[in-house]
Amino acid sequence: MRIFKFDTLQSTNSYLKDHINEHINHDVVFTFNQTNGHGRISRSWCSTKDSLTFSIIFKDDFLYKNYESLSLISAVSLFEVLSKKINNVSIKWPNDIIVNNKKICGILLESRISTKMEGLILGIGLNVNNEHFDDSLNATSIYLENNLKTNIEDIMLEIINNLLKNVELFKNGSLKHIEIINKNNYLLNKETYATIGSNKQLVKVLKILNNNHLLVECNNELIEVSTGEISFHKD
Amino acid sequence: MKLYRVKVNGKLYEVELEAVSETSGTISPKEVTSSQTTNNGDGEPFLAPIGGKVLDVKVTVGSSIKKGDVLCVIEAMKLENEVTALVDGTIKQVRVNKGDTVANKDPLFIIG
Repeated sequence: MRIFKFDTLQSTNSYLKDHINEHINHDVVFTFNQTNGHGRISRSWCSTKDSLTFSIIFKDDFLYKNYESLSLISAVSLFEVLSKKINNVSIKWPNDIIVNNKKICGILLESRISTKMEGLILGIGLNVNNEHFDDSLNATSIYLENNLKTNIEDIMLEIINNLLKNVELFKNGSLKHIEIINKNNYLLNKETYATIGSNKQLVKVLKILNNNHLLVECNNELIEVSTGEISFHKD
Repeated sequence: MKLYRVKVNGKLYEVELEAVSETSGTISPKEVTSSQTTNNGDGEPFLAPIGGKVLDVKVTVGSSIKKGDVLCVIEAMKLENEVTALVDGTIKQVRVNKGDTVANKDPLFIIG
């Protein structure tokens, strides 16, 4: 693993995408000053010197075929590190980490693809030492949860090492990540509104299946959905 | 029945031959086309390398592109894939819109 540290970058994910051929499997790009970060569907991701922002590239044919699992494994890897430092951490399938009903990090998985994938880029933005957020963001940080300052580079290394360990376990046949998500499922047995296909319905989340899909109960019927087929909302 | 490829005036045809008598039997030539050729001769179709929802289309008709340029973004199972050009060229047709759902190998663009 090599870590490339930049004083300033617009986006660690975009940097790796633009330089995809110059980087090898497990290369990490990190900055304390990301100026134009983004989340899914080009939503902006705001980060400060109190946040951790880094991206890691995977050039691995096995993971290209199993990128859905990488998404869940990344959430579990973050969950395990955070649970040692703060309480009330849970995972909202597929890859959101929730602490006391607030969001503490963002995970963005991107790729470049022509006829085949050229690389999988996993970006992580974690609120570490932030002391304040606008109420509208419904966000929290490690500091706000435990009142302790954390060394940002130290926690980055901890997350990366845990992630690579969990990826290796998965490649050797382990489904530990599914077990952990199910034990710490933020939506377990909760009724929530969801859009499945084009229909908005009230569903009850039951469990995550070994194929990464979600099992929900809707109108007394059991339905299995993938990440592309369901979205949750408040009403 | 045996299958032969026959080039006539520079065009390649696939021909099935069956042993018949001197007074019967016809051969129906079928033109062999590459899976990449278009139906109107303007250029080559660029096919989706993955199925999913089109989040963004980065080019328009007339755009000049180089190999490696991002043409569109397709989301599949929460993975955002930037789909890149295989060759230099010009966008002759755009066959998708933002918000469309495409299947693997659906034509996205015609590139000439």
